[in-house]
Amino acid sequence: MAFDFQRTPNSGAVNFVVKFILLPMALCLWLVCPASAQADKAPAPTAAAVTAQAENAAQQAPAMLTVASADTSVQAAPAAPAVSQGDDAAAIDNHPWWYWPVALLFFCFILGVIAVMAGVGGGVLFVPLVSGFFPFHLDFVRGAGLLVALAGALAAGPGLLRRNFANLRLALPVALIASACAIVGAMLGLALPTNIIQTCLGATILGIAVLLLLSKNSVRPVVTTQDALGMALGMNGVFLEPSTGEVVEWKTHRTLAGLLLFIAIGIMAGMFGLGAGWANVPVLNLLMGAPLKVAVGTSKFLLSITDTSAAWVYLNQGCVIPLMAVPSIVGLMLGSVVGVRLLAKAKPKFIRYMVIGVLFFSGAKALMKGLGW
Amino acid sequence: MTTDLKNDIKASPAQLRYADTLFYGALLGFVAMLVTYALYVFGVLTPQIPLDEMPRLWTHSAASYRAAGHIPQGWGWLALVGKGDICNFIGIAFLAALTIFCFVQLAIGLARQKQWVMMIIAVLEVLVLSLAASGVLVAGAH
Repeated sequence: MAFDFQRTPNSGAVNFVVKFILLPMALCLWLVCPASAQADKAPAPTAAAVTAQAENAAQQAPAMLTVASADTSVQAAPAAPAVSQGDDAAAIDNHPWWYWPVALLFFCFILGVIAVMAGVGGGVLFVPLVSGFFPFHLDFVRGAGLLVALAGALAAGPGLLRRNFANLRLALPVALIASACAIVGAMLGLALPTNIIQTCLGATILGIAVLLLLSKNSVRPVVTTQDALGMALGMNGVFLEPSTGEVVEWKTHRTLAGLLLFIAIGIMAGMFGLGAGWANVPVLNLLMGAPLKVAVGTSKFLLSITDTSAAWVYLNQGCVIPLMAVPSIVGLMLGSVVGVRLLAKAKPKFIRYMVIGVLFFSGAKALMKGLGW
Repeated sequence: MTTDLKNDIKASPAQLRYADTLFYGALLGFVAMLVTYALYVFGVLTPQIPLDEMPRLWTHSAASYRAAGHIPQGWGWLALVGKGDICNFIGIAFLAALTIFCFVQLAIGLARQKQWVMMIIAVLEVLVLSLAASGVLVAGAH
């Protein structure tokens, strides 16, 4: 059999993706792996001592201002971290303070490019990968993850609403349920021990990877009869398909089942700091029968509501470090812009399978980390 | 195509107003976020926690971080807004609050159109988001 060494039409796109996306991503992962290994090796008793010291410092700290309080005795002194003594025995990171935020910026840029091409949200990739390969505590990774997903939704929302791909009638009832449950999820996530959250996160990421692998979205589900609840809530509409100029009328069914599933979606989004797009789209499209474009657009818009409620809980608990959150947001959004432009040149299917593989890997890593293996 | 269908294809006026508020609000929030971040990392404003201390603190839980940096929970950060790191919450909080503003506007619009079911849902959403933002929901630290 003769081999054909002629340049194929798709080889240029594949080379581009390998050279400019996969190799830089591999390089970033290679750079951050030592820190991940260091974080894994941090001895538990030292961490407990650090926490105890910090808690003692908190008890001795002067009263803090609350908005409702008339007292204004605020301690604005520069911090004298109580953790300093405990760090002598802990793994020491010798990098300068700007190293990890810059690494995060570039990492999130690549994540944004890949997420768009794979058709997944940046949030679902951010939390497992950053918690697995960067030295930040899971509390801050989840806080940043919610803000990243929120920022993306706020940026995309106006365009989707104007083109009627995000439908308010479809979004409002599910958003109410999901956002209320996201608060519950966030509070649960912050109350439970980190190792339990890490284990559940790992299992959830593996489940998401399986879902992405097996689910086949339906462009135009067939809905013969709308149920009473859907009709009462006005979950129907019309949109113009730009590629064909066709006017598509749609309505939903199995509304109650869908609304109930959004309870679980909201809890998971809040608990793990994940954007919920991976779950919103299958529920809206496959279960409730919304056309795929409406489901995707409404899902993206929904994130701006669901993630807002969870983000506030994390923000109020001090789980947002601007030094890492802002580069994450900026990197992912710039990456998304580039990803949209590269979408026409790359092979989305290949990227999607690669992302699913990465999710399997990071989910397994999170699971093992949570189980202490 | 009938006139009704042509009208249905377009986004409703309430939806368009929501989109506009979201667009300009998000733009303002992102600009504020970038400006305050620059003030922070370039040392224009003194941070509450020195930048050099951050690598030692971000490996520990949020409770430890708050305690070590004397950072209050809830809206207490407003009192420290002159600090380089804390002022970043202005842009972040604005982006997080944007949806609440949009829903208040939406509820008013729906009330004018006498779409009572949607209006009630919008009002409930405002209450849920306001509860989350209020800072009264404090989880026990792990």
